[in-house]
Amino acid sequence: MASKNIVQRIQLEKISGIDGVTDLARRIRDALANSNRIEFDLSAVVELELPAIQLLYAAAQSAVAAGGEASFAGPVQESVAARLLVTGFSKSLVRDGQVLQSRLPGFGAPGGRS
Amino acid sequence: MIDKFRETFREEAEELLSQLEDVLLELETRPDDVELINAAFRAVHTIKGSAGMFGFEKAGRFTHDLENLLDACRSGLRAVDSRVIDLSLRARDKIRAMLAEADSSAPFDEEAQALMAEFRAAVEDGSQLSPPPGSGKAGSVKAGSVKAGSGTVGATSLSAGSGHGSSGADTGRTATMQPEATQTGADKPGFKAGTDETYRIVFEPAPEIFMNGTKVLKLIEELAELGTLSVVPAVEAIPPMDLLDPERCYVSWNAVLTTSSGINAIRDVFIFVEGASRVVIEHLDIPDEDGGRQKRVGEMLLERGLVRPEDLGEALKSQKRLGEVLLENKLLKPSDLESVLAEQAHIKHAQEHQHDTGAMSVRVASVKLDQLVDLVGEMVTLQARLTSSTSTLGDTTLSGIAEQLERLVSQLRDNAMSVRMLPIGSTFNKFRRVVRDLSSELGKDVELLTEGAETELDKTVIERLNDPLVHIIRNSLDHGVESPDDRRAAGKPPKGTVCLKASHSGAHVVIQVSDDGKGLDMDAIRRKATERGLIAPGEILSDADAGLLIFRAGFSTAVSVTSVSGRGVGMDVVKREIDSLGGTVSVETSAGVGSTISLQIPLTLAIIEGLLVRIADEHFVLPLSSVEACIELPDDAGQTSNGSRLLSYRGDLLPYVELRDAFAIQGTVPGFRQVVVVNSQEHKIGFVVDAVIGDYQTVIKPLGRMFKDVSGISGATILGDGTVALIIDFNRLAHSARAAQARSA
Repeated sequence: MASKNIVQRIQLEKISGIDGVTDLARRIRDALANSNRIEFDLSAVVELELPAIQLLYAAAQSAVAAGGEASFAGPVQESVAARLLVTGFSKSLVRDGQVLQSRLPGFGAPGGRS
Repeated sequence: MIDKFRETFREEAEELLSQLEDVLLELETRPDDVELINAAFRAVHTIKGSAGMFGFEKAGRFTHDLENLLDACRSGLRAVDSRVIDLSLRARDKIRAMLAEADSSAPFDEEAQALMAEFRAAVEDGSQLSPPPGSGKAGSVKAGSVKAGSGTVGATSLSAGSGHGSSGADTGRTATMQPEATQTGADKPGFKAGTDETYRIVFEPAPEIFMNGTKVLKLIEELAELGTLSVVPAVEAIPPMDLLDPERCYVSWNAVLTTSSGINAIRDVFIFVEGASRVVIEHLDIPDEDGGRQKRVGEMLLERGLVRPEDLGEALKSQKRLGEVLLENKLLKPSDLESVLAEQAHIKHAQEHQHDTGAMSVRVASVKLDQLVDLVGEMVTLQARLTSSTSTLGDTTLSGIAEQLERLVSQLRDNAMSVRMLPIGSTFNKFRRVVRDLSSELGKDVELLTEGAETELDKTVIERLNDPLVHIIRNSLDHGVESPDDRRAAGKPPKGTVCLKASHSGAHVVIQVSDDGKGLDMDAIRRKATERGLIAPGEILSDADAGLLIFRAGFSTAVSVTSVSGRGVGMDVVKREIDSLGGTVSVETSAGVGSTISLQIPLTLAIIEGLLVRIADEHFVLPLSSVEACIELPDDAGQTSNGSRLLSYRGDLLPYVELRDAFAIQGTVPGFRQVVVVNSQEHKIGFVVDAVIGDYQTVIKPLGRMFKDVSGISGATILGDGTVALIIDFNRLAHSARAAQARSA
């Protein structure tokens, strides 16, 4: 088993919608089984749907509950950044994954909220 | 009543289609411009949404497929290429045709079906493409268009709703936004169907909503496109990973939307999900900023049933902010507090906006403007009669009132005329499409440049200029601009240019269409004119006059007839139309360099400032704006050996026309006469009259059919005493005089 402190990086698909959500959930669960630190790479994503966003929130909760954290890495496509902003998830148009986490209130909080 | 709404929709759709055409043509040159892709999508989306509502179901269904194509482009799933632009432009024309059809229930014709199949194929083909750089969905909100709280902020500093005037905690995020709408269309006159209204919307998607293919976030984005949206998602219900069913929806939204689209447009967004999901839409009254008090956070929480009164009372006893206390004691969900703060900030913003938009434009049917100008014209005529009568009566009190009325009527006339003035750019934009399509048809590469699009002209004149300008531009492209090979051979860049330029010149607007093509073949024109007997063999014709021969009916030097031109039909129509507008046409050309056709058009056809003159008992009016001076007819004025009439004027010889002769007016010639010197087509010419009476507000009345071909007269007006004065078409008289002079030279 890998160390709990090693960051598990998960790359999301170009179209992250309902079709791939079961597979993504499996990958996240596998990652959480190995580490409490998880990093999402959204750089390839051009279409991010609600099922995938819910998974990100759920994963962040689980990681925090396990004493770790969930974060983002790499750039965020404009279409994704804009969607997060338009639908109210983010506070601003964030193109940098490293900043995104801090712009998603409730991300990592129990029940999605702090 | 429904017909009235349908007609209004048609008018608005026409404007949107016009905007769409402009955007698509612009997009062709900048295919990566996300703003333009979004603007095109929005125009199509709006037409689609409203078409169904007003009984244009067929157009709505057709537009839906086009919308899908544009949506794929803005999503970055399909690159914007010439195929997308071509298809979209053809679709735009088809939508226009569908909206003009009386029967919307008829099946799609072959063209429509073929286009719809092409839309689908283009989406599928494009899905393999990588997204264009910088593409994004509506997503693609521009930083500058994002507003938060009560102010506009940059994207990266979008601030949370701060609970203005409240005791709320600053816990939330409020994306109050108007995606690009302020920049590209939504705020343009005519886009809004009505006045702004604000609604509170609660959307709780059914847990199994994903399973029927619904893209929930798209619904929120569609909502955002309707106006200014403040939206807060409730994410508290999302469980941790071990409890999460990834195919179940856990998120809901509270939103506040200010829109001019009406409640039905909001309902339309949720039309396919409202059965299983919970959708609540409530109208919110926005209190007037001056008179109405904003609700406090506590009141709003109570009103929505989010806290119990006793809990609220207890929380208010604390020194801390109300929101913080309620959250700490877990008496309130964070998202509920956020949504209340968002609503409060949104309402404040809407209040401010009410003030901003208090003096916005009003949509008025053009026929009403015509009636207004007609009535003002009648008033001007009546006022002239009043002035004339008071002068005869010699009553000083009455004269004072008449003078006051005269000033008021003059202002009223100017105001009435100004509301009919439109920038000519609206016409210019149409020609971009003409040039694009025709260049492609002729295998030429031609760019249209425009200048002076802001130049204003009476709307009636603008409407009548459309066809003449189309003819001139088509002619320039077909006969003027060479093929890329020929241009290279001539040492020119392969891409030709046609320049459309408008500018003011006194009471006229000068419109010039220039091309950098091969110029008119003046020898061929003279030869053709001689063959057709338009000029005598050996007759010398200036280049300017020879150039005008292209405006003769059936005159063409083209070796071959194309589908575009060459039959000599069209340019004569141009001349006739410009003549009927009281304008003039002139041509300048230079072999191998290009040609310029200039149209000089009066600003308005309704009321002008005129100079009233008299010959015997007849009265005439000359447009005052063209009058340079009035002088005494000198004794030494006379006829030269070749029949020309010349007089000395400011050191030069000025040709002049005896109006008494031109109109065959009998009667005694007075000993003292005057000459009105006018500027006509860059030349000066004098008109001899018996007396100059003075300036006169001239309400132009068209001549009846019987007199429409009378040379030298362009209209008539009614004088204060009820008699009729004729308006002199001085350009035509001047031209005839110059032609006669040239013949006798």
